[in-house]
Amino acid sequence: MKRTYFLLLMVFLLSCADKQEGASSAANFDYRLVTTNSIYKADDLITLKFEGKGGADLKLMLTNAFGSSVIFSTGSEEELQFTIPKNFSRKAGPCHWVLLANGYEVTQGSFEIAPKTNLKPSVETYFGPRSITAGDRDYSMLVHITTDPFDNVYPEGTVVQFKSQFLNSINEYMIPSKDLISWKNINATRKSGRILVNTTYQGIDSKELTTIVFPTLAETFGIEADRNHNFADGNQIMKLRSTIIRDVYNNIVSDGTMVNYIIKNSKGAILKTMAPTINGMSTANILHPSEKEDWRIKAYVTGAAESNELSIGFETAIEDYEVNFSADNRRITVGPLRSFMKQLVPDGILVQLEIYDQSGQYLETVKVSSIKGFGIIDLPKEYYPDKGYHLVCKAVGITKEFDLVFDEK
Amino acid sequence: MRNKLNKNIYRTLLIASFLAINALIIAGIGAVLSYLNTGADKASILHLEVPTEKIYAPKISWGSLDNPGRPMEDQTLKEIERDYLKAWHVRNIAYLKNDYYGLADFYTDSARIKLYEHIDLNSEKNVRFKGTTLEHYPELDFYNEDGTLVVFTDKHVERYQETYEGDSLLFQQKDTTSYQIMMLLEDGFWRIRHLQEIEVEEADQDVAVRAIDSIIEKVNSIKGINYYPQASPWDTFGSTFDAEQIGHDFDIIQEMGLNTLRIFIQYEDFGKAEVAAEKLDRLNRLMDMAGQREFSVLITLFDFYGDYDVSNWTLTQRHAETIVNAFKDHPALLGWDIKNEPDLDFESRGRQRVLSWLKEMTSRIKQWDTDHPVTIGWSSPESAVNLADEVDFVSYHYYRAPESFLEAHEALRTLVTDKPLVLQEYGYSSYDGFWNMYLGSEADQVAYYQQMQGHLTKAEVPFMFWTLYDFEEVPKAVAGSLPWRTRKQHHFGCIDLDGNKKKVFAVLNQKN
Repeated sequence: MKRTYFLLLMVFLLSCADKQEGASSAANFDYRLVTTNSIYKADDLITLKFEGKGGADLKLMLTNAFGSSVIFSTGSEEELQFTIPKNFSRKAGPCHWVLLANGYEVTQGSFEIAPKTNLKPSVETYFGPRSITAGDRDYSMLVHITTDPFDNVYPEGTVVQFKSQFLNSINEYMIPSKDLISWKNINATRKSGRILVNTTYQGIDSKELTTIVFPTLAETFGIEADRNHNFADGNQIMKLRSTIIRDVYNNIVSDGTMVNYIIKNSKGAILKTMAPTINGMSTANILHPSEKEDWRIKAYVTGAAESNELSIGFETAIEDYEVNFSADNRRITVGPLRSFMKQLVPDGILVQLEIYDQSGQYLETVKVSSIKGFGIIDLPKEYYPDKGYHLVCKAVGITKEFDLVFDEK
Repeated sequence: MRNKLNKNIYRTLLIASFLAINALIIAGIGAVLSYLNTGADKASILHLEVPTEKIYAPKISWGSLDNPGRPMEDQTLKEIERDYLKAWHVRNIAYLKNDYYGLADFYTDSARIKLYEHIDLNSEKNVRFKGTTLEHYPELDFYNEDGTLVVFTDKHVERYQETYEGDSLLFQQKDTTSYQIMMLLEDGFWRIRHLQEIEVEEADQDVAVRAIDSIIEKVNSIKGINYYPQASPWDTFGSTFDAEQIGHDFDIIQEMGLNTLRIFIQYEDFGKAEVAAEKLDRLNRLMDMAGQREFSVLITLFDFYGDYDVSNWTLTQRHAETIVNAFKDHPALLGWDIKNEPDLDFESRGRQRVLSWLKEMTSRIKQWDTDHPVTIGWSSPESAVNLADEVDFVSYHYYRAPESFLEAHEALRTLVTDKPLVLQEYGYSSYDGFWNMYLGSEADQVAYYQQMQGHLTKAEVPFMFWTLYDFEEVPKAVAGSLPWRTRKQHHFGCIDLDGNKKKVFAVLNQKN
């Protein structure tokens, strides 16, 4: 047996004199082990017998992987007898002993305990990761440990049956143990779904364990737009829909995959709306513009896939509008704003007035929303003292300019 | 008249009771306020991490991390290492106290049962184990894909264990065992699930070849001094470290024709297991200055350390390892003096405990530094026989009458025949004051050294005297606080408090 185990008994002759007065040295004790068996099974009754002479007051120190203890002889002086306690006799592996007399080592040795493999074993399984992605690269790992009733690991080379199920196929593998465990990589399938696994050793079955195969990354998909009319009325909502988004193995992508719809308008500005998928489809909403536009729309699953590009045009809904001034010029009424059927536009069309002084110096922009077809802007005296102003009115993409003078003398 | 007296008495009583009541009320309010102010520090609501001191530091070095499972991450490896060592640490404590405390954090349910059974049996038999592991060489066998299970083999774990029956030491044992371990990650802790002793082929241990002959030659010609700066005795590397002054002192030592210095490293001052870089830097500067003057330096480790307990063996070993590795290639290094006068701790700490610690430390330092000798500075020639087989040269101190020096030296020589004997400390205080009835004098000091130097030359004993300076302050830890003991300590130098050379300077000057 090749193992390293050396004991160093540190005896400092004089030093012990005051502590262990009258101690006789180990030389007066002469014992040898008569028990011949040195290989046991866990939970065997193990008794070590020594024959010799010297005294009955000898102790046996035991050491296994989990710790040490000291036990006393139950035999006579000529025949010492030590019964190994259960916490040592049940633990598989080497168990070392040292026969001690008055603190000196008389003799030492060890015996080997094997796991109790003829009783019903227990199995432990560890499975993970519990979610993987479809395809040929990802996998979960199933680890199995067989132990005897005293929690000793079965010897290396114990062959365990691993089973995995996916849809109609059930696979079985026989895996020998090494480094305490048996283990197997359970590869992801190309189709999304659940893989169930378990292990069996000598009729003892583990519980069922599951890993979920999620679809992998989305592939290129299509989008379409759906709207009531093509007028830029700033009021209707356009729906943007994706086709069913799938991964490379034709699995519908997981619910909640976020689709970003990026819209580039004719001025080069970017608008954005987004929606998660349900059953592979996503539906996002966006308000019609309030002036003539040409939109180019493309959708993305960030980092994974993109759609075709849609081109959507919007016609002008409001051809023109009037601008009226009150008697003192301080109330400016824009409208009525009439839409494509001459109906008054719904509330909320943006009307904005840029105000410059006579020299063309920019002062302020006033923004209001239309109410009942009219946008009304007041220019109070406190802010705009009497003098000349240049006004630029912008609404629904139509710009009108005026010069006026406040003069209330 | 009587009435008036009575009236005054009443008046006095009234005023006194008024004052007393006021004092009581104020004291009461004060007590209430101070009670309300006690409790947790407000900063504690931030749950800041409490800095912890290293408590268990055996040498651990990971071998191969190749495994058929998942590649090991550095961070996880550190966490596994931390929890694995803690598992050993709590187990050591549990077996020392026969108490379950802490085991649940580092052993899984089924594993801790086995420890509990051992503890129950041991407390029934009234045996305790004081143990520590010293070296671990783990190699990774398996790490699972989701990072929650790991199997590794810890090869050649060097363990030291003392067995106690009641309070008396029954047995000491050192062994080397290999284990295969499975740990599981459970609620943030890596816990031991299986721990199995296994057979591992013995490693080809490179038996380090020691090359100390040339230095041993040097030891035979030591003419040296124990050195502390005058301004900061017993604290050479503290905040008052003054390289310029040390350089100046070294010039004086050189002028005296000496070739060796003995300096002291305080264990706590240098940061225990985690040695402060700043201290190493100061030590390095001192060594460089010594090297420039072609001095050899004997470094005395573990000054003011006095525990020797198995529970901090690993810490002291890391301390020594850091310092030894930092200076083993320094040209000015003469060797390692493990401990100053450890025999003085025999009584308070137990002889066995001190010797076990010294022996272990000696063998470690010999491993780390194969090119420098190791010694121990025993307080008397008689105690210098201890561990004489372990050290490379024997050092002892002698503060007794010079007349009997040669006798004591020869007695030691008959016991230690094959190794140099160094008189590592000796000296005489010129203290002349109340506490020695004004009986000392510089003349006595001169007479002492004349006699001693005569003996030393005659018997060819390498020597290092105590010391260069008289000291203004001597820490309590050195000689206690009793003035008749400590006063003497102030006047062992050959340069007095004002920086003047004392008469003895000429006697000790080797160039004369």
